[in-house]
Amino acid sequence: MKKRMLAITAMLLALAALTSCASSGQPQAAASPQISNTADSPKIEASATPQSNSDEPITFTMFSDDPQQKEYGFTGRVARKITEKTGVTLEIEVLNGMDQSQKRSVMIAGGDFPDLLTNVGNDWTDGGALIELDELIEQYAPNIKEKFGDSLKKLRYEQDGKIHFVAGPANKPADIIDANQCLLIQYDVLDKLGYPKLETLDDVSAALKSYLEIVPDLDGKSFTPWGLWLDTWGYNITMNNPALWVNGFLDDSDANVNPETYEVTFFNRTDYFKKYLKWLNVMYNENMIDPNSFIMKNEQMKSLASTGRILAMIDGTWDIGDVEASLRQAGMPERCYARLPIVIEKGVVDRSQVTCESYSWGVGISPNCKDPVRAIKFLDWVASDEGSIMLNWGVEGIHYDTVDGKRALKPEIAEEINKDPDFKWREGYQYIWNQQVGAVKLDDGDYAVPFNPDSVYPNSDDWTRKVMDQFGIKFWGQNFKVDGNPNPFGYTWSLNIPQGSPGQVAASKADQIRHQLVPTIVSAASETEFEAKWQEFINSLLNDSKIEEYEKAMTDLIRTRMELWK
Amino acid sequence: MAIPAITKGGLIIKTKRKPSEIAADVAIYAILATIGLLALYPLWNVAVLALNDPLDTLRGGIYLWPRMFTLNNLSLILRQEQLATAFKNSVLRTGIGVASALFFNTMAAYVISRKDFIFRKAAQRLLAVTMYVNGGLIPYYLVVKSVGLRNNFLVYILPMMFNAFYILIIRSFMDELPDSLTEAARIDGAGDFTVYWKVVLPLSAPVLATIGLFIAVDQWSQWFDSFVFTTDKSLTTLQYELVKVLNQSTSSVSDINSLRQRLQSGGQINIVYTPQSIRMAITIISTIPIVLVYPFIQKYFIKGVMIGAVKG
Repeated sequence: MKKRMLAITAMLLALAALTSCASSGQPQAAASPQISNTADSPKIEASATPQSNSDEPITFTMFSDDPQQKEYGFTGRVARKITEKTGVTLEIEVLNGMDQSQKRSVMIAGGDFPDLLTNVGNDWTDGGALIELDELIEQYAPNIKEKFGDSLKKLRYEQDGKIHFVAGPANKPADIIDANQCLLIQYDVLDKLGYPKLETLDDVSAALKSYLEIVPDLDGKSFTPWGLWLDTWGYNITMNNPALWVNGFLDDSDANVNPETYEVTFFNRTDYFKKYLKWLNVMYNENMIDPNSFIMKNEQMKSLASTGRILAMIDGTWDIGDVEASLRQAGMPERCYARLPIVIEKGVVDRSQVTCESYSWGVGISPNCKDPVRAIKFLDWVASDEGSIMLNWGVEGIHYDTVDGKRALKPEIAEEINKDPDFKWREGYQYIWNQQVGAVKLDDGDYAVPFNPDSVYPNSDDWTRKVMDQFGIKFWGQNFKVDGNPNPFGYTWSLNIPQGSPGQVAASKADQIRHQLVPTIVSAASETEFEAKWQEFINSLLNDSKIEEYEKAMTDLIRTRMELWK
Repeated sequence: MAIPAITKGGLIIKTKRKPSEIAADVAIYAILATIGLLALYPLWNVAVLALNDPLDTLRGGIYLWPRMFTLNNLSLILRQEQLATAFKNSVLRTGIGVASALFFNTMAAYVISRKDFIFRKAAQRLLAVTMYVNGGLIPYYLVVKSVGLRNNFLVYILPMMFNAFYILIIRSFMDELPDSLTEAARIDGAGDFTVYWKVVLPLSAPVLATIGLFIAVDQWSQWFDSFVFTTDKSLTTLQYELVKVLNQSTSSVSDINSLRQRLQSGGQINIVYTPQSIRMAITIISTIPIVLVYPFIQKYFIKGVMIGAVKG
């Protein structure tokens, strides 16, 4: 959608620029950047701006393509401290409205870029919004260079081999605090069965069955033993991805990549996926899956789960945050979910939480920037440990104290953060990426973020602690191995197939097909029907969506990226 | 029309009524009451959900009364920093917008309603074209930018001052006015502007009320122009602020890629407010002003119809 809008924009603009130039002969200075393609995207020479004096106060306008950000003035206590340290004041505009692609298009069309853009990816590069940063980083950004080390080349854009944005430097956590997507199973199920060892999906279905014998219903209402919700992106996280995890794959989304040749097969047509569907099919025929799941929406799933009626599912832990809060509020903490790795059969190694390194968005500098050198120096400060502490913990003495060499948020600040979703923004935290992923440690040996492994166990409720004790862990991340071998090419979902290209068309058509046909496979009444429906699905993928186009495009992209990252 | 009929029915009850008539009345009232309740209930439910604890709402089963009463949802919205500015701008743009748009639209309508205007047909066709064909957002944006309306309060007023659809409606109303009135005014020595201002405009009160209401609603509910044409926070409007809150509460679940992006950034998803509750609270907040204002406009509207009828 975004890409298509950009393409249309560029076309319209080229037209507009042509006609207006022809008629009036006026210079189209403002309108020119957006027509330039990536090959000659604007380049600012570092030497062209000699006025950079790193002490003078300067105000940068910054645009954020993350609607979750809030526009508070740069006046919070953290923000003021940042200004004190760097001389930089940020004037932030957040892209927030219903149809954001339209605003993107007009910004690109008008060339009205602020000095800095954050939360932007290479679609903005295509629109001429981001200058090349390679030389600026080389000359002025020792911290960025140090933090990224050899990974700096992984920021390069596949289309021109240049860096256009700087991502958060610490995408390589040593540990994870909570799982991302994994098996979620109610505490009560584990507890009533005496914490059985769950290794394979068959263990899970057996456990659910024995639990239902002990506890047949919840206050007269029946359970949904295995939860699914397949509306829109629910398919991705409760159907496609679970099949990846149980087969020991990483989050490669729709791609199944041959590790030797990088040849891609559409994951939903592999036998791995079929195996998972077979398990679901058996579950379905044993009435363990609610037929409504096939059309269930996110809110409906949450409503069901927060009444405690979904016993287990594979979903994002972040998708059930409000569900668990609601369960605890209603006095049903035993219905919250333990996080466990699960595989389809013995011998498969779970890699669901292995992090790959690839960068799809970050902060960039626009061609309109009044002082690119100063801007990169500012970003470099943000990348430093000092900047990281400032943006995550706040100001020492005001937001956190250092006790025995360890940072600890002041209780009143922690409470404010929990209570008031706007607090962070008002204070001036987190305007820019800031190494907040997982259990990253800074050079001083302490954690980079307040939400870290040390803080989980003490802040959990009794039930959670009881279950964690049974597993001998202090945070859920410890249930998982994070050192399985990651993809050398990063996540495949971070590779963008251009909008409107045959590969992308095939993928979006295939998405429709799978939403329609996969439920019929899962709900097949017999073995033969299952096979027939599966065959129908495969045929439809091959013939109706021309899925091989997608496979080809993805293979090419991976190979290009590997060249670039050599 | 319905009101006199009911009054008449009420008078009949006192004299003599057949049982079948009474039965019919009862049935009619029952049906109307049901329809009324059906129309009212969704709004009532929205209000109830807006006043209920978000996490409790998630569990469902709330119909008539809040189960866990809270004002947090409303206060989250009312706490927005820009709200006072936004409200002021919305009121201003609605006020100024309605007055200026009515003035210019009626004037244009008057001109093309004049039978002695030579380019009448051509002007009308040109107007009609703009109803079906438009330049698209980007050219529009470039025009706005090149005439200096970006980050300018006038961007709320000027583009909406001239609306072909409204002009054509007003014109067809003015066509109905008897020519003899304008002729009489002319004989008394009135020029075009006097005829327009003193004769045609007062007689057009009903259509002014209608179109005025249309424009007011357009202006009041417009957020897209603030979104696209302004970056200056002092120019924000109420609806835009509400759209932003709404979007902030829902965008985390809009698509899988934005989620991935958020996860990669480690963003903790806030669990104090749920999209559903925010939506309900916003609906209530943005509906209240209209609910408060509408009865008054309606009164004027009916009065306007009467005046027109009597004088015509």
